Amino acid sequence: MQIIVPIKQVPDVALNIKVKDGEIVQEGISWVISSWDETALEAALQLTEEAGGEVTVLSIGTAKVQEALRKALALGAHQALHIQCDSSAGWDSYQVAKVLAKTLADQDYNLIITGKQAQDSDAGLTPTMLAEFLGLPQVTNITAFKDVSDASITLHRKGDDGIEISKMTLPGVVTVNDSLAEPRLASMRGIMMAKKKPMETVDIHSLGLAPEVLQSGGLMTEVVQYEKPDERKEGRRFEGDETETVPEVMQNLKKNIGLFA
Amino acid sequence: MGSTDFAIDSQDIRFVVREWLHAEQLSQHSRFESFDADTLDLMLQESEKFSGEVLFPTRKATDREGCRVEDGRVRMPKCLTAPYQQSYELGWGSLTSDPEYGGQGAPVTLGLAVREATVAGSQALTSFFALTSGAARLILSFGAQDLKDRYVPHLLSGRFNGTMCLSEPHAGSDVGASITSAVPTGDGSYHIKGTKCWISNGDADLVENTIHAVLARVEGAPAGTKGLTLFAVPRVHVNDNGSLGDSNDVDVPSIESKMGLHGSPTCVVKFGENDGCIGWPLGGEGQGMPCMFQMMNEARIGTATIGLGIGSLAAQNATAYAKERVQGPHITKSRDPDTPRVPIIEHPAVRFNLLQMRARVEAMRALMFKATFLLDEIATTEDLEVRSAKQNLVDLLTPMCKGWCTEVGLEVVQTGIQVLGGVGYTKDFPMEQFYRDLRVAPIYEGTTDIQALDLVGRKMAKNQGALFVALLQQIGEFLPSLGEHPRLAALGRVFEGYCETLSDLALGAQEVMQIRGIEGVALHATPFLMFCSSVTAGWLLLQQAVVAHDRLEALKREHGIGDLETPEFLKENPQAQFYENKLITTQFFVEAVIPQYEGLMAAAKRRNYDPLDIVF
Ligand SMILES: Cc1cc2nc3c(=O)[nH]c(=O)nc-3n(C[C@H](O)[C@H](O)[C@H](O)COP(=O)(O)OP(=O)(O)OC[C@H]3O[C@@H](n4cnc5c(N)ncnc54)[C@H](O)[C@@H]3O)c2cc1C
Repeated sequence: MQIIVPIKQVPDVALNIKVKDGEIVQEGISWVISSWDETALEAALQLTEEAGGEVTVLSIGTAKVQEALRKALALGAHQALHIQCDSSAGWDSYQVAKVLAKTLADQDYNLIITGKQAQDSDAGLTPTMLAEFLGLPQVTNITAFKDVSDASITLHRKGDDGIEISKMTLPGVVTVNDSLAEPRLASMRGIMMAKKKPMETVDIHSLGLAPEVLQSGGLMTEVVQYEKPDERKEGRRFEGDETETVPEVMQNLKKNIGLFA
Repeated sequence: MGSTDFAIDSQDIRFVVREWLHAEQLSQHSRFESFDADTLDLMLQESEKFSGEVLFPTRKATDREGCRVEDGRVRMPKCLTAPYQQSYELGWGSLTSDPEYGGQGAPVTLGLAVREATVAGSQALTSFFALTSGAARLILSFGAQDLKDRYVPHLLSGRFNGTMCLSEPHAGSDVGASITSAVPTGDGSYHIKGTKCWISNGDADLVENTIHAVLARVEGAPAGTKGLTLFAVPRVHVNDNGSLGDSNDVDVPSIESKMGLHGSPTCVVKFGENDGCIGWPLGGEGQGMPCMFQMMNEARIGTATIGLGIGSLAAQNATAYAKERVQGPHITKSRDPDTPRVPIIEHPAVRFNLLQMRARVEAMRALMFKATFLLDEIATTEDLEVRSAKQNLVDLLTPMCKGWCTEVGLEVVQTGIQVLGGVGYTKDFPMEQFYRDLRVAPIYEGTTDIQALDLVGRKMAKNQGALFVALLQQIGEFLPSLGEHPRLAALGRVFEGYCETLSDLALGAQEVMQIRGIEGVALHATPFLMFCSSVTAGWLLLQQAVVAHDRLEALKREHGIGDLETPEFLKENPQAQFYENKLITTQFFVEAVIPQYEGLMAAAKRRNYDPLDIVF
């Protein structure tokens, strides 16, 4: 089974992100793989460990995204493909899906697995557009894989009314729910091996995309500016035995927000 | 990050490793070729993640559950089993050990960065990693090939653990008083008999077997340390195919009941109660202490890491708490009863405490990373003269790291408890546990006083003081570079004053010798260690400040920032603020912290010998 996992490098949201003049301040940001993509990679690794085959990770961006690709290689991906561009900042899901579709058009694979959305933009549009551009079936929000073969796969999907079970012919695109698997931690050996695994870099301009795709004219949506969300008010801790704390909490809710009044 | 969460100062660690020391350059040497810049960055990031997600959640449960002896075996807190396994599966347990036997072969500088994270995650498990890799290295350096093949791969995979057995009921600081005996069996092995006490991790149900590195006296050998030989003694014999064989008559009847560090069993270990214990020599007869010193030097730096790792965590937790806790009005508005209450971080006294903590942590980090980086440089340098000069500096820095960083780490945690106020004294917050766990660090691996004697009596006395003179020379060569420095020139002059005091005190030791003999010198050895270490750390922080200043100026140029716009720029650019903070921290350390240690020398300066004269 050949699996492609497109990954996005995003700012680590655990850290304090600063915004100035509607832009995110780049210095001091630490960059990580979007957490849903880590789940996608974990799913891909587990599938190939079970059914054989290889995982290729793919990312679009400046040389910096090689850090994310290398981390994915350290976790166990077999090879990496870096679509090099000067900057992918400001791109929307449509552009990304176009570039991915073009890149993957003549590749051999059975399955494309992605996170269900990116941790920074939270849009969740790219995988669906990608499936559309490639003319592939797609199932979203997967919680488990069953009966894996190169030709088809059974998928458990978390839907509105419970778990939906569907069978999909391959190749196809799936997006994963984070309950599917806990992403593994990198091992020292994995990190050292990562340098020795193949990482191919392809210039985005050599893909033969229509020029307007890469320009702002290719945008379907545009982020006009960033704003920092309001600071969350400090929470209050109620300590002690529940016979004391529960009435205290009730009292507070009544008094401060008029609940149960 | 909250006041009870795991935290690593990854920004400072990265600065130290990559921008100050340039540890990535070690990868130019074939020995460390896998450890290039990208690999180092990823390892720093991943070890932090591992320590925070896997190790740290065990800290409290380890403390509450503790270890116990049951059916002759030490039962460990259950929460440690899976993290222990995972540490070895992922390679964090045997990071710097020989790759030929299953280690990862990392530079010790990287090893320190990772240990700083793991010790903050779990001091108990880190003691397993450290002692086991130390024992493995002893066997690799001094053992016969058969011992290496039989034990080392299992030690480095975490299947077995290792210990160092020096202490006995009557032989603590005075190791030479050991009476554990060794009698040749005739086939190269020895019968071992005796009781060792205080043995960290002397048994644990985390592992299948324990390999003890035991100091014992061969029959007829002279008294004192010169008569000691080192042995590898397994708890259970190991068959040729790696499976476990017969028991080796090694028994752990009890463990100590301690104030902290409850996840590392401190054991009484009885060897040969039934005359059936066999050990194999590591190094020649009578070579026990020089051999053991290899492990002890490593272990001393390892122990110092506890002061750094826990100290750094405490400093960050205290800072987070000070931002959360609201109490009292701002001092400038204290007369106004309606003024809003402010987070305690706005109170000058709390800020003073927080910077005291932070400056000490960064100073410890500077000292320790310098020592480990020197070790890596030694391992990658062919030039014998350069090696020996660097080794001399490491020899001098080792007791400073052990003595100073363990004491200073404790000072940091103690200040942290103060910043938290009442809750710092409760078990709801981890600070009190940090204190209890860390409290042993200035005691084991040679107490602070023993480190001071090592520094003053051995290292500084060596070659008529050549090592110490070389250190002062290096500092002397650096200082002129601050002469015209736009931010650091004045600070350089303040610092120069401490160097002169230090040099005067060292020279004055001759005179003290004449007046009060060696007792007079020994009396002020521990304060001297504290002062000398703080000056050495100050020198290293000043080097870092020069780098930080250059980087800050470069960032300002890059963004077209003039002096007027700098304050605003610092507010919005965290990287720039980090560099500015490094300059502030260094200044505070030099102007406000070093004098606290210099103050300890008041008695020496006045030639005060009261403690020798008083009748107790
Ligand atoms: C939790 C724990 C784990 C340990 N793990 C190990 C281990 O794994 N292996 C091992 O071999 N040992 C271990 N030890 C023992 C430890 O190394 C000793 O406790 C330490 O060396 C001090 O020896 P002591 O306790 O006998 O104290 P003493 O030697 O009796 O010292 C008491 C006091 O006298 C001072 N003192 C003693 N001699 C001198 C001197 N010559 N000059 C100046 N001051 C002096 C000391 O500084 C100290 O303040 C451990 C101890 C503890 C508490």
